[in-house]
Amino acid sequence: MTRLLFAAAAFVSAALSGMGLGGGGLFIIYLTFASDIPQSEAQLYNLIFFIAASSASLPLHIMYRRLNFAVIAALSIGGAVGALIGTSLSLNFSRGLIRYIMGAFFAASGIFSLVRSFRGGR
Amino acid sequence: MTKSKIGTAALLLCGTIAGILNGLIGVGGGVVIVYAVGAIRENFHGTAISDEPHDVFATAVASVLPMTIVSVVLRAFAAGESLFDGDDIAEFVVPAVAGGALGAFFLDKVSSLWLTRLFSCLTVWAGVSMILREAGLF
Repeated sequence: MTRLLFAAAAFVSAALSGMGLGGGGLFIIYLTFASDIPQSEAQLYNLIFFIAASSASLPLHIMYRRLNFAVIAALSIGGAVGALIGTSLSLNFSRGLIRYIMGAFFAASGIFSLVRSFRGGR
Repeated sequence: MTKSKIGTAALLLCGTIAGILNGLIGVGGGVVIVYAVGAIRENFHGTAISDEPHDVFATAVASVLPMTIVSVVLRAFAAGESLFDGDDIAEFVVPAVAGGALGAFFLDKVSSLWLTRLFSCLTVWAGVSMILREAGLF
């Protein structure tokens, strides 16, 4: 049952993520609150989950001509450098500090998204 | 410096911030990119970014993929083989692939304002709970 729930959470989170509803956040919320997976593994699983879900959605985005490759190149180059910095920090920070940062990020992004949705944006 | 060059520099900076967040907590890079790209588009038209939300979202997904791969590779090198539990990973990768394709297909077809609000509330609750739990208050 737990394993079925795990797979269902991944499927629903990926589908919502593909629709632009922040499913990546949902999967790590599930991993953090409803499973016994340690924090560092939850972060790794969420990253692997994102690779799987986005790799499946990319061919459709390309087919519907939704991508701007010049913008993607600039964001990806900066992103790769940032990922090196962020991951190195993560490997050296305590579990407690990571959870405080994650909690603050979730609270802030949720409030921002909620306010934005009432102001007419999505 | 032209608006276009400033726009490119802003995109590089935005990507770096998204990469730091994504690498640090394993989530959040896409959120930073979606919001920042909107701001960059409004201020630097020379970057020729589409103002269609679905295009911005798809571009964010494609941009977060390389930084996510960098984070996974770095974590794998740091922790060695013990980090990967093949059975666990197989259990969520297959549903994630199916769900990701399904979601991308329905991206243009689903009206999601109330779902967005619902998930925003869930995200706020999760964030506050995480902080209170860590502080031993919940």
